[in-house]
Amino acid sequence: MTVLDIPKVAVPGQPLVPSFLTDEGDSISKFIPGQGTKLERLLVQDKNSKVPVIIATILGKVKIYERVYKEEAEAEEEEEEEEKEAEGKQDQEQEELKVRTFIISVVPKSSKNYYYQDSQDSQNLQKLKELEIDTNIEEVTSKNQEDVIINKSLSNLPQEGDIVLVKILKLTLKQAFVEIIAIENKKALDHSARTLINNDSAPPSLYSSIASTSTTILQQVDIGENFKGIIRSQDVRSTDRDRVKIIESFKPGDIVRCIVISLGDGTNYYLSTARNDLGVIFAKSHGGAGEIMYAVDWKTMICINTGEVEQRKCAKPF
Amino acid sequence: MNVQDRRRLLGPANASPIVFSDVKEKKSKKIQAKPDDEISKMFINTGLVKNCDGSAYIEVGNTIIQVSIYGPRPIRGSFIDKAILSTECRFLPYLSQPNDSISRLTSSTSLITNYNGKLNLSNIEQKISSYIESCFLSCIYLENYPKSSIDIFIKILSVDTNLLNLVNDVVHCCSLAMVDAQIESKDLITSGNLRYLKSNNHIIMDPKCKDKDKDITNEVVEEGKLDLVVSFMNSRNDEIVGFWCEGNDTLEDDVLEKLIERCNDMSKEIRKNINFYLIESLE
Amino acid sequence: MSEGNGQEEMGSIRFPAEILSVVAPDLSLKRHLDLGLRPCLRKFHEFKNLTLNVKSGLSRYDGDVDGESVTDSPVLGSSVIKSGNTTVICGITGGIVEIANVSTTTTSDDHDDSMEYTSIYPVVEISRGKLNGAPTDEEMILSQQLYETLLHSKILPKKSLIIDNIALKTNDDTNNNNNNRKRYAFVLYANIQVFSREGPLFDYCYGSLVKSLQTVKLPFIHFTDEEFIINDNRKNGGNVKPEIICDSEAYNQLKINEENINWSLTFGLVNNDDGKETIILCDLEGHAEETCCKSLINVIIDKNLKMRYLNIVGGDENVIIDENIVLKTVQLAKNRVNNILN
Repeated sequence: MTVLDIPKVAVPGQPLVPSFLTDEGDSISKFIPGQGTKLERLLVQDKNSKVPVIIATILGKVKIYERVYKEEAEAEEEEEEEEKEAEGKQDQEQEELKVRTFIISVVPKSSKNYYYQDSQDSQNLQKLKELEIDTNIEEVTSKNQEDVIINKSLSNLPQEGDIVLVKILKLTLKQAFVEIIAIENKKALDHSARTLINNDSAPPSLYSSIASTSTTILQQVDIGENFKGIIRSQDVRSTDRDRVKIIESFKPGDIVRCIVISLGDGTNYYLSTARNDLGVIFAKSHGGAGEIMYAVDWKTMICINTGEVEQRKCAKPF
Repeated sequence: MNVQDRRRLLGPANASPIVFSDVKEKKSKKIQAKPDDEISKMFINTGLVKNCDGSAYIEVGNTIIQVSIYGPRPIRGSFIDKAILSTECRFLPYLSQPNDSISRLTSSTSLITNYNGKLNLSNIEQKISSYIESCFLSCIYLENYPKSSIDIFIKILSVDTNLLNLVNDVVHCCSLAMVDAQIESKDLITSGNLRYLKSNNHIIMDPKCKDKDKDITNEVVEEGKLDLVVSFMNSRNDEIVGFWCEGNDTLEDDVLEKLIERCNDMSKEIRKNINFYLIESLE
Repeated sequence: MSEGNGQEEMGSIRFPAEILSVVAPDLSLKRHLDLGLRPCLRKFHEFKNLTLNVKSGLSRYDGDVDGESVTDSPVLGSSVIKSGNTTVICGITGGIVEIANVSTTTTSDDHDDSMEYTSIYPVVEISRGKLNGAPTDEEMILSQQLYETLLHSKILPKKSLIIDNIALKTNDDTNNNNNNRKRYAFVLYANIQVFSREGPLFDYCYGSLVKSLQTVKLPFIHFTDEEFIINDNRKNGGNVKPEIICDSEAYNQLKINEENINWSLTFGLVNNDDGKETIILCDLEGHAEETCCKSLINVIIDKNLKMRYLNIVGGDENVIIDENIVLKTVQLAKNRVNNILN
């Protein structure tokens, strides 16, 4: 099969495969760029015309997944295909040819890239696991999964729909200001690790990250600080939204699991906790001075040792 | 020097610089003369510096360059849908920079007593920064990184070559750091560097010689000489992303074509080596 | 321990160690300590690997054999220290300053001993992605600490910087009256570059500074005419040839007080919740340790393994610092210094 010509590892800029391949036999292979790849038009050997080629954009191992459509999806996809075929230079009557569709992506080796959610029970994990498998060709059956692989660009930037871990920095009546610490299933934003100890002296910091961000207001350009976000009061929960009080939902220093709903403005991402599995996952009583508390229901947390009860919008821990 | 700078300990203001008499020219300075059509060996390493998103280190002869990349990281201010790229090249403060005498002629301070007081980028540093920036602007998929900036920090730790040859190494070091930072790029940039001697129509590939100050200031008028750095995206149909030429003579079209071709050959050669290193590093 | 178990009950939300150390550094630290390890996976009393290099090739005289291969670098002494991932590069340069004539001749008994010693003017630059501009607090504090520590260590006598090897280039011998002549001395500046900032930076910077100082060589100087005026560049608008010229090859080794060569070590103290037992951690490293160890002990030990300086910062109310802890720390420090300096 022609697929075997595709290199196993790639450096940025390396052409991997043209977007269409015809076998000697009767089938056409169509390739779609996934993570770490891009579709570009490049000159090929004959030097006359530019051909759509998928290139690697990062250093890593090349993975290929075959997309197998579900019955119902097939019809509509077929139409799409026709259009694209027409654009491409393939003039074959594709009705009679078998078209196999592959998603091609480049996965970095990433000793630095650790994945944050590695417990078995996460739904997201299923998708990731696919990437881990070492065989060169994978079958992707559900249409949904294909989206994941294609749409997520490799960057460690938060994107719409990402689940992120944030730390609450500051509260107002209408919204909570947060700092994004990590993105699930992506590289941890290790900026935090190197910048929580911002501006203090050589001995380790006495300031928490909260203190350090307050100094960033003075220091106009800070060193690799984290992306910021906002949880507006109407995004805290999905029911009874106009009666949400921010102060009864979060406290500074809490670690909260959120979903990114919008890239927001220049400075802040807009985040939401309006789901059962989203909300405070880690908090200490008395604004950080006390001990760790645990959720007893969706809006109460309790400290096991002192019996202290505080209000939070908790994430369902299971 | 700078009395206003109260944030740094710069010592007494009335100090004057140490000025050395000229080092006597050594009769037999044991330079292993490299054949003119060979590329010198380099040592490369990535990921040494941990507190950044990507870093690379390159050593060619006595020239040492370190590059750290920070980013994508958040910017302040209004929404942008593409990343901002910024580059800062700095020599260790006490290094004498290539072509220093030129910038010294134009700048107001003649001699530096305390190198720590040197705050702004020198002309040379600025030129290198902007060359690198313009090369990489066309290479990175900036649209993949909205609301962020990508900052390249180049530190020249030691320099023992002429300006354009240094730039050549800096380009490679930045490319490696880019790969280490896993920033999505159209290609990996490599470049070639030549010196063209007009009198005998001779081309020196990867010239390692250090320029004497007087060469540049033309106190001694030498025969026509041209230095050239051309940066390419070799996997992308050899697109040129950077071009820098210095010298004291004119450049004819046919010569230019030949020079660019030779630069491209050199660039491809280096690209092969870098590819090999990167693929090795994956295993 | 209860927290640890409680976290398990929370069920599915688990973090890998890197994330936990950011989300809850204290928890991360405690769990590691319970296992007898530290977040950086070293043992409590295990130091980081340290390499010292004084022939870094930066200095003017580094490759020097009989003045044969002196370079044109202005660096008089240098060193490179690597500890774990951190690299510290220190280069020492110099300047010349006019001094008062009397300073060295008076040797009255009542004058302050510390007046006999001087220091170096260090500037620390920590590479951490900051665009140009003002130094950070950390850099400023480190520089100041280095200056003062070196001054009070009495390593660098003022005398050794005074220029007395002036080769006169004058044919006018009648004016050869020492009292009328201005005297000059060197001043030393250090530039310290830190890459991969991690761990007790002061220790590394101080180490590199002292090591560099040991390699400093001062050039011979001579005057170009009999006026002996140091040109003040700022007043004259620059571009004036200075009248003091240093010999490109001949030099003297800087005389420093070798007896006072010393080394700084910083320890973190944390308490293990179970028995209120205090644990000493060497070479703090990583986010969890640097944010959670609020109690610190800084010890400076000299070459002869005598303690020169001890500073205890008791930031954590749960950590009990008693005599035993202090003695144990000092002992640890002495062993380490013995390894490094001797």
